[in-house]
Amino acid sequence: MKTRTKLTLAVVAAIALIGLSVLASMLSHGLSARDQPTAIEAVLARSMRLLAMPRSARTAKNPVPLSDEVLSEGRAHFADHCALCHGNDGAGRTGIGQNLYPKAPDMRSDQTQSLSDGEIFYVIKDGIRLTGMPAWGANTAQEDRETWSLVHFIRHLPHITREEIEQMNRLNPRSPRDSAEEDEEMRFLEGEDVPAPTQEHHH
Amino acid sequence: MQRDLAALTVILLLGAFSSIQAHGGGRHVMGTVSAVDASHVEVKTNEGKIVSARLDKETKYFRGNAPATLADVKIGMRIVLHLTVDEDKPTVREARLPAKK
Repeated sequence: MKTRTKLTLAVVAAIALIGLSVLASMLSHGLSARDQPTAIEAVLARSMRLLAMPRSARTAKNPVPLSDEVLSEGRAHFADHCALCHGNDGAGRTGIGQNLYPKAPDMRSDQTQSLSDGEIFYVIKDGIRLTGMPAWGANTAQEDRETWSLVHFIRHLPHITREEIEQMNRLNPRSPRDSAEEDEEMRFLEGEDVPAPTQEHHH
Repeated sequence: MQRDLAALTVILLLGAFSSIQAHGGGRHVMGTVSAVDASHVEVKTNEGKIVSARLDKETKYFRGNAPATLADVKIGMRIVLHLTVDEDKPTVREARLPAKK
């Protein structure tokens, strides 16, 4: 048998083995989104993401100069669109973020902060398949500018202050129920007797 | 005999279910501080239920809208807890206390 044929067979056998292992794992553990991705899955997914990203996108520089105004825009945008999964502080400790598969990452960590500006922009704009990360924004100059502002804000996340988070809390999307709950909390803390059945809520 | 066993099973199942409900913890708890230390807080709700939750370095404290600290949490105070429920014991993400007068 030729060396090339042997090599091809070895690769096919390795892929089949990995496939069988994944299948066996799925059959024995189910497909719960509560699990943590295995180290192999994480490495494969990151490698695929990197390979699938055009080089020009990876090396793109942020064309929006950093300023207080830009940071403020990015903060407001993040609070309105991203915080639901990522949390205002970017830690990903939200009900949705922690129950996705894979979990929403801690955006303050090196794993996110070591990505280039272009990579972060690409992930926001095009999303990541088979994860909870959607593609955001239309392909317009205005939307791109907003995304680059977000990149600046994501770079700022490791240094975010309590005051900024408080400000973002007021900008997070609220359902009528959330607003009613906030009002109820405030009345309770001011000393009112809030009706007993609403003392605890499960979401 | 079989009927007694069935009744006992139902009672045990109901007991287990109500125990889970009681200890499951919510995302949002309002009540009065009944105990507090560096790592946990206990809150007695108006219904008389005790909810215990973990405090960690990520826990944020507020008096009204002003930042506060664990030292501001005193037994007998009204408190609102926002909890994460993804672990075995709920963890306090945010503890809100009445504003200073």
